[in-house]
Order: sequence, then C-alpha cells, then structure tokens
Amino acid sequence: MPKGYKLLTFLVAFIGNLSLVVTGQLNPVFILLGGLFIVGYIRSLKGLPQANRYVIGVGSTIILGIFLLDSFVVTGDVIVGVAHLSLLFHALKSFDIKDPWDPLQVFFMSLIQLLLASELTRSMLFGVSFVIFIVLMVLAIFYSHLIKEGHRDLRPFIKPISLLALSVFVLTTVVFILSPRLQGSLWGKPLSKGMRSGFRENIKLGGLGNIKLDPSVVMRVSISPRPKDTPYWRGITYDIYKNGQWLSLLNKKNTLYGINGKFDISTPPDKKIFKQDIILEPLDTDVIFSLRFPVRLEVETRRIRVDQNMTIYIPEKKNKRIHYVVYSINTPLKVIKGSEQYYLNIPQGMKRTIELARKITRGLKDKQMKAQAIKNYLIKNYTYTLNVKDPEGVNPIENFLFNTKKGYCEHYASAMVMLLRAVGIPARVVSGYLGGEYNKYGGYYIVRQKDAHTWVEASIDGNWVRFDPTPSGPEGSPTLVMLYLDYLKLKWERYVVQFSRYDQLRIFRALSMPLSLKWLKQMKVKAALLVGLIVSIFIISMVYLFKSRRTRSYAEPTRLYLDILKRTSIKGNLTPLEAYNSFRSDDVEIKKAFLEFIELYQLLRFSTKKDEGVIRRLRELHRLLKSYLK
Amino acid sequence: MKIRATREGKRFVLAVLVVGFAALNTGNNLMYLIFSMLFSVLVISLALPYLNLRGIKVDIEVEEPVYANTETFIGITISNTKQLLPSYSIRFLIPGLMDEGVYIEQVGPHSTMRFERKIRFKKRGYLTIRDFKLLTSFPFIFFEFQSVPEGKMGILVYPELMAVEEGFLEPSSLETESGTISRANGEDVHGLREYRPGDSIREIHWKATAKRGELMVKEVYEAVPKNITLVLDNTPAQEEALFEKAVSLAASLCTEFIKMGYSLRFITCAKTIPFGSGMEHLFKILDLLAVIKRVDRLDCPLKELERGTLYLILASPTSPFNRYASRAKRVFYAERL
Amino acid sequence: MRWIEELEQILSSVIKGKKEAIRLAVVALLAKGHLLIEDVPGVGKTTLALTLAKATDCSFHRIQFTSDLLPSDILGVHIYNQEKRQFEFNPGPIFANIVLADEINRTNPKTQSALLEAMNERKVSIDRNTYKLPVPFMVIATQNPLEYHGTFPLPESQLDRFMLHMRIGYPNYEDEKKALMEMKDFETVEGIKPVVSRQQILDAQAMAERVHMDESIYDYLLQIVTATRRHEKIRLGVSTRGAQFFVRAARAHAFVNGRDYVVPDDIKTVAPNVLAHRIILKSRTYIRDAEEVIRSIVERVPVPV
Repeated sequence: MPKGYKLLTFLVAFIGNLSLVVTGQLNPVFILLGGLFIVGYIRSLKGLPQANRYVIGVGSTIILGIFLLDSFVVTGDVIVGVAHLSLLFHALKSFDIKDPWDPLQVFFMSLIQLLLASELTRSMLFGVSFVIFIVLMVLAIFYSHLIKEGHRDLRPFIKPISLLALSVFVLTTVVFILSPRLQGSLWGKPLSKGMRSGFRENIKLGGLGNIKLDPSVVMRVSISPRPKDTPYWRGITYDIYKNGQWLSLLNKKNTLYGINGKFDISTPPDKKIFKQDIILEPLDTDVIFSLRFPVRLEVETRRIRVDQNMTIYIPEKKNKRIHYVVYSINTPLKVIKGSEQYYLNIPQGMKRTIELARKITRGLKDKQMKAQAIKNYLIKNYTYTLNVKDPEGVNPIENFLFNTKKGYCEHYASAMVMLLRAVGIPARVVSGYLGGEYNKYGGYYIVRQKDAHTWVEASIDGNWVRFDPTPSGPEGSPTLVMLYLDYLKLKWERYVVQFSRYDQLRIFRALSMPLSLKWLKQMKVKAALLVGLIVSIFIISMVYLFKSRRTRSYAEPTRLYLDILKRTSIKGNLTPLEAYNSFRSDDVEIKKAFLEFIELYQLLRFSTKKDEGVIRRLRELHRLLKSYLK
Repeated sequence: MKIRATREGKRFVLAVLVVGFAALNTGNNLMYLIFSMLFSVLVISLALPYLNLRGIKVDIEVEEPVYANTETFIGITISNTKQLLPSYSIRFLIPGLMDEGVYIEQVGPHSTMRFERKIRFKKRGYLTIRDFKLLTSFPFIFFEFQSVPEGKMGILVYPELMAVEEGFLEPSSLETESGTISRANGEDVHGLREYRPGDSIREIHWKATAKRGELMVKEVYEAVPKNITLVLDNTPAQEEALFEKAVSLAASLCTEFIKMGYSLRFITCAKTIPFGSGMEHLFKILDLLAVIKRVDRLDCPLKELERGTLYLILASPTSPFNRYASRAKRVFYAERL
Repeated sequence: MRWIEELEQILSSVIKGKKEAIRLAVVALLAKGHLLIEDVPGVGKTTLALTLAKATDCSFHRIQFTSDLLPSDILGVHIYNQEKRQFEFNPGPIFANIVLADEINRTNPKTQSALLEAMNERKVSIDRNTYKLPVPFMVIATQNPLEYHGTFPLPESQLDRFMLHMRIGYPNYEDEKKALMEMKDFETVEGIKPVVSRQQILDAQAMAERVHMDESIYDYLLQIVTATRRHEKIRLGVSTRGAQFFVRAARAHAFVNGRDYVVPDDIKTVAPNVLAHRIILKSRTYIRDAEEVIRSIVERVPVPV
C-alpha cells in the first residue's frame, strides 16, 4: 500500500474521531483510549508490521465487552456508547491495516461517526468537520479506485480530483436543498439537554444569579429596522409575589392553530410592523421571546398558546432549537380592564416598604411621575452586584431595600413593583433579555444568558409602561473575529440546522420567478456578490480544466504556425509545404510571405537554430498574414 | 453500456438508503447533510463513468505475420472523440487474449493514445476477435461500467514455428543428387580437364593451371533450380495433436527451405501449391497451413512426385502416404518429434 | 550548393520531364545509397546513369545482365601471369564509381547475390583477397517489371539493399516530342563536362550525414515504419535496416533541398521510394500498389508540428 493512502486513511479516521470529540458529549477516558489510533498509524506509516492477529482478536473481544458495559450500565446512552465504540474501533484497526481493503472499513466507520455526531451536536464545528470529511472522502475513495486499477500515483489526477470535490460540494448543496422534509419535523427526539433559564411559571428570587454569568448564546435575532433603543426581549410576566417567589397566576392561555405555520395573534392595527427573525437555542422552557406588542408569528409548528400578557408558548418546542419570525408593533400592551386589582397585591408584613414608597412619592400626583421617582430612587441609592446571598427566612425584597442595599435586576425589579403597588399603581415583573451584542457584519443581535434581565411594567393610563430600575453594568466590546465567527454560526444555524420546508418553498418560489423584482430587491448586494463569486470560481475552474487539455503548450513558432493554419482554414494532415501548396491567394506578395513564413517556422521548429531575429521576422510575417486573412 | 455494482457499491447504496431514511425520520438537518453528500457521491459515481466511456473509440491492429504460441505485438489506439471532456482511468481488454488489458490514465478530448502489448495466440487458424471490453469505474469504486467498442478483427494465425535441426535440411547432399554433369555455366566445380580449343576462356581454372603449368578447364554441374516437394499428410487417420505437430513442422520446414532459396512445392490432400520461391510464396503456403484441416477422404493419390526432391511429413508410419516413403529424400514422423 | 542545381539541370536536359526521378538519383548518390529502377526498357535509364557519371567526373561501367553471366564476370578474376609467376587480379566491371546493372533480374540468383554483396560491403572478396571498391560507389540497377517472362525476381532480402527504388515511366506527350525533336542522345552525353569533382561528392556525402533531424521527425519516421508493420494490406513490413535507409535518404533529401535540417516534407516525399520495395503485400501486386499503400500510410500518420 502506498504511504499516501495510509496517510489518507489516518486523516479520515482522524476527522471521524474529531467530529465526535467536538460534540463534547464523550467520556474523556474513551477519548484518551481512542487516541491510540495515532500510535497505530505512525507504526503503519513507518512500515512496521501489523499487530499479531491474536492480539487483535483479544482486543476486539475486550472492546465489545466494554461497549456492552458502557452503553447499558455506565453511560446508559446507546448513541454515546456506539460513539465510544467507534473510537476504540479506530484505535484497534490502526494496528491492523494490511490489505488495500482495510482502509475501506475505516472510511465506513468514520462515516458512522459523522452520523453519530450529527445526532449529538448542532454545533458549527460539525459543519467544519463535515466539509473536511467530504474532501478527504472523495480523495480516499478515488485513491482506492486507483489502487484497484493498480495505479499508485495520485498526482496526475490532481485536477480532476479537485473538480470532483467541487462538484460533490455543489451537488451536496443542491441535494440538501431539494431533499424532501416532512411537515412538523419537530417531533424528532430532543437530544440536546437544553439550557437552564430563569423562565418558569414560578421563579425564586435570586435564582438568576448564576445565569447572569453564563456567556452562552440564547438567541440570535435579525431585526429590521434596527431599533434605536436597547431592545427588551419580553418573556414571562409575573403577578403574585409569595414566600420569596414570583408566580404567574394570570396566565390563562388560548390555543391558536396556524395556517401553514402562520399565526395571527391579534389583529394588526395600521401601525408600522417590524419583523424579528429569531433562532432560539434549546431552553428548558416553551416560552419564546419578542419585542413590544407581538401581532403575528411564523413558526413551523401546528399550534401555539398565548396568554393575556402576550406571552407566547410553543408546546412542542421544549429543549429544541427553533427558528421563528415574529412581527410586532411599537405600542405598549393594553391593560385588560378589571385586571388591575391583581397587580396591587402586597404580601403581609411589608410595612416598611409601604412607608418608603409613600416617602419617595410624597407631593407627586401623576402616576408617571411617581413611578419615575421610585425608579430614580432605586438607581441612585442602591448598588448593583451579582454577589448576593439571601439568608433563610428573610424577605429578600426588604433585605435588599433596607439592609444590604445591594442586588441585581431581580431585586431592583421586585422592589420597584412592591413600591409601586404600595402607592396604588398596578405593576408587574417581566423577565426576559436585555439588549445583546449587535453584530454589524450580520445585522443581528446576539443575546446571551448573561443578558437575562427582569424589569417592571406599570399600568399607567390603560397601558403597561416599561420601567427598568436596574443601573447598567459595565460592558466589554467583542472582538472583530468573534463577531465574524458568530455571524457564521448564525448562518449555519439559520440555513443548515434550521433549514425547513418553508425555506424550500421560498427557494422554489424565488426560482420559479427568478426575475421578479421583489426577489432581486431582497437579495442583498453581498449575497449577490457571494453567489457571483462562487459561480465564477466554478466556471473558471471548469475552463481551466478543459482548456489546458485542449491546447498543449507549444513553442511560439508552432503556435503562430497553427494559428495561421486555423485562419486559412486549411485542414487535413498536411506538411507545411503541402499547406503552402493548398493555400490559394491571388496576391503574389502574400503567397511569398506565406512561403517565407513556412520556411522560417520550419527553421525554428526543426533545426537547431534559435535566432531571435528569425523569430522577430516570423512574428512580423504572422501579423502580415493575420491582417490579410481577416 | 453495462453497469455492474461492485461489492462496495452495493453496500454504499444500502448506506445511502439507510441514512436517507434516518434523515427523513428525524428531520435532523445534519443528517440530511450527510445524506446529501452520500447521494451526490452516488450520482457522480453513476454519471461520471458513463461520461467517461462515452465517445471512446478503439482501433486495433496486430503485427503480422502471426504465429501460434509466439508473442506478437498488438497495437491499440484509443481515441476520445468527445469535444470537451477528457476521460480518465479506463481499462481496455480482450478476454482470453489480453486479460491484463491496457490501463489508460487519461486521454484528453479529441486526442488519441497508442499502446503496444505482446499477445500470444494459442492456436493457428483464422480467428475473429469480437468481444473487446472497455471498463471504467472512475472516479470511485462503486460501479463498474462496461462498453463493447464496435468492430471486429480477423487474424490469420500461422502454425507455430519449431526449431528445425540442421541435419533435417542437408542442403549439400541435395544439390549433388539432382545435378547432372555438364560443362556448362554453373559455379560448382566437379572436376578438371585439359583445355581443348573451343573452350571459353572463362572456363579456365586459373589455380589449377598455375599448379600444373598447363591450361586446365573446369567441369561444373549445371545450376539446376533446386526444387523441393514437400508433402503433408492430412488424411484423417491421425490424432489431432499429432496432426498439429505435423502442420507445425511443415510450416517450419517450408520457412527454412524458402529462406535457403529453394524452389518449393507444397502438396497436401486436396490442395497443392506449385513450385515457387521467395517470401510471398512462403506466405502462400503458410496461409494454407494456417487453416489446413484433415480431409474426409481416407486416401488421395499424389502425382508428379518425381519432380524435385521429395520430403514427406507424416503423423506416423501408419499413414497411407507412407507408401511414397521409398521415393522420398526424407520422411518426418510427427510422433517421433 | 551550387553544383547540385547545375547537376540537376544537366540531368533534366537529357531526360525531359523527370524532375523527381532526377532528384531521387541525386539523393541516392549523396546518401551513399544504391538505386533500383524498375521499368520497361527504353525510358532513359542508361542515359540517366551515364549522364550522372559524366557530370560528376565519375568512372562508369555498364553491366548487361544475362542468364549466363557469372559472378566472376562482375567482380573480376585472378589471372596467372606466367612471366611474373604470380596471380594478378583482373578487376571486373564493378570497379567503377557508378555502375549500371541493367536488367538485374535476367541473371541467376548466384550472380545477383554476388553483385548485392559487393554493393553492401563496398568491397570484393576473391580467393581470400579483398579489394576495396572506389568511392563514391553507387549501383544503379534496373529491373523489368515482374510480369516479364524469363526473369529471376530479386529476393526480398536483396531488394532491401537498395536505398531507393523508382519508376521513370514514359515521358508525357510534350516532353517526348521535345526529346524527339532535339534528338540528342549519346552524342550529347559524351560531351558533358563535369560540374563537380569526386572529392566534392565525398564532402557532400559527409555533410548530408550530419544534417540535423529533430526528435519529432524521428518519431514521425518511426511511426510510418511501424505502421507498415501493422497495416492490414501488408504482410511483411519495413525492417530495421529499412528504417536506417529511410533516415539517410531523408537527410540527403533535406541536403539536396539546401537545408541542414530535416522537415516533415523530406520524410513524406521519400517515403514511397524508400519503403515500397521493402514491404510485401498480402495480395500479389506490383510495386506501384505498394507505393500506393505507403502513400496512404503516410497520409494517416500525423505530421509533427
């Protein structure tokens, strides 16, 4: 077996292993054991003999035992168990590469690894390994073809093989787009464990503390137009505070059924609608997020539920990544008549709070002014910190207001709601996310767990008006590379992982009316450039491949001679002199020039003379004949 | 064009189906991605071999004369008549004759490649080669495409030539036996005698003259054409293998005699090739020997055997032609070779 | 070279309308080759040979081959000189620069082979003595076409010794008329003055050998030769010796045309004359059929560019 083939086998095994390791779901012990395949291939590349077949036999038996133990007792997950098994297989096989068909088993195992990885992760790293895998796979099967034909050198085939890999890429894209998707493919088994979120129907005050340190991405939102203010991504509203917990009791949900994944939540007024295109990571809640007043939703599911606080639930979403588009209007939510009383409830024994509230709002009549005063008071007199420990048996709100005077958003918001309620203004706590990084390369927001936030809504003049009493903390600006990477991640999420029937439909529609103005308008300049670039690279490589086959590299005299022959359209297997004899022209000078051209060409081509003067004369004659033959 | 899925190919198709089903079932787009890749590879491994073989023409010529069991050159010209596409990794073979075949790494559009290989025909006779094969599975190993280029080729394979022992030919004795003494123009001196008036000055043997001191004249044999008649017994009373041997011996003897410049006649039952010399004459005889068969008749009388020196080639002494043995200069028995 | 043109001019003044034949004769001379002319009697073969000899200041002998011609009649004999009491070599007619062997197929094979051996070796061996033939040495043999009776056709192995063969053929009407009107035959030939010395011929032969031949031309030549070995109509193709003659003839042809390098046209022009008498066709045919086959082969082999 040629060394190159062994190396290729190693690389294919490596990329297979890598695709599994980057899922982060494997046991480090198995990763270490699997790493032995590097030793095996180094041995093999050095030309050392393969291991004794009894050793291999015993090794296989042990591995099988480990697999059974691992997948049914230790890990308890068959997929992870098989993944572990595949690592061990590669390690064992690396010591047993002898005939040219052994690598085929390795390729096949790597393919299985890739399949396993596709079930264990959604990460873009999978995409990277996948692309490398395509290239290596094409190369590897091609090489095995060559070896089957008894040919060992890959070099003469570099051009066709690169073209081949390119075609596999293009074709893969086409097949990926065209493959049929079943409706509601959300019923697949959720595999990602999902992130903790602060959003349940009852949250314990202080529970958000850990989450505020978590940099993992919750969602990416393309939004148009970009809002001028920091966006507040609304999640759940809480109305009752009881025993240190906020509860959401007023959450009577209506179920809505959509048409083709479109849901009208409320009749949109003539107001301007703005669109948010959101990819939400798996969270352990079925709440989805939106800005302001959501009026319409597009998501690939059969039904959604909406409560009167305009919180939207997707029952089938749990622990899955989801892509949805929500349309909102830029107006505050309306207060439902007769519901105000529920937002005035203050738990027993919070007299100090009530007193404080009265003190702050003394002399102010307007509800708006009162609320503003409370907000200012909190911002001015309290310190933001994540380092809060609420002792047992103490009311966390009063502890914040009067003892520690330190806390984070939950404390601020809860305190403000209680202070508002104390002066008779109905108020509630809203939890969701605040802001996020704006990625100007992709034109979208990256919202992370650490952006989790709670704020206040107060009922003023029949509207729920937003107040955020939390002072803003310091912010670092992300690096350029990070932004680009995140942009790629968004695209990967949006166009690969979340690719759906609706996308297919959109593409088909666009293709069926390729010249419609709407489509052209929608297509961004950048995207057009990118498509153009890809297409031209493809065309150029095709032309390069074919062209270089057609015209062999001739020396200049021959090129000029062939050029003239082509122009005279003299055809056939003729010697130069015969070509001259079959050249018809009434112009004696041209005839003479042709003869001289032929003689000089022959002199340069077939004699040992390489005189620069002769070449110049040949060029001259070539120009002359060319202009005559035009 | 015939398509055959290899063992790997069958497995691969199965894998594509399984992954496709899994993708549809889970709705996992990453699995769709893998499926798309596998499907693309499948499409390519079906489309490319087809394109690869299309427009490939094969021309064959064999270096003649061809002798059985002797290596001969075969020239194979493979041309790609496609306008744009090159073809890669094609194997050309002739089953039974050139099983190893010719491997073409690549042949560009509108270009031609030439190969030379040694082949060996096992038997004499007129052979028609029909089933040429072009094979490719480029670029992968999953499907093998096979096409049968048009055209057939007829080749006349001469009998195998064997080494003939020098003694079999005995040229010197040949000449003396059939010559008659005269004092004509030949060059081979038989004797000397004294010069008599009227003798041509050209006939004086100067060496002898010098030795004896008087003019001596050469006596020479007439340079008679050295005629040989070769008879090959092709009556049916002999085994196939022995007959083949006899044919092979006949071909070898004829070749040797012609090379030595004799005038040769070749007689078999049913067909006779009259006296002649030169390579063309030899090829005429070899043409006959290439296709000669045993006749149905048990016996056929041979005529005019007295002209030229007679050689008999018989399978064994039991041959009916053995009765001419007394007249023959030499009799060869195939069974004794 | 000046004298080549003059030589050709002189030749064409005595043999009308046979430019190509004349050029081939000069090519054969400069390539140190022998020439076989295959034709009916009386088309000017003798004139051509004699003129060539006269114009090049060469000695000339003509041997008329007959059925009773002996090898010694060509090569020469040792004669005992009784006065000196020793043998003296009496050289035969082959000892000349240019030898016309007329109707070579009329003699017996033994005499034929004596001539051909001498042609090949360029020396004569008699009774253990070896005599070198003069330089330049060139045999112009003529042979009647094979349909004539009473001939001994030259064996193929002997034909191979001739570098070139050609057919002169009857002149066309105009040329023949001209020839008759001018009616200069031997008288004129006798009066021809040499235009070149023997030494110049020898120098030219040496120069012709050094004519450059590009590798692609070698390929072209060899492809033609190989094709004769694989042709459906050909039973026996051109031998290696034939290929060597081919190279020499192509070089000389380039030289005669005033070039010091060979071009594809040289190959294509001389191919039928160098190759046709070296192949055996499958069907019994005349040499002109062989020429036709060679021409068709040359048409098919791609010309190098």
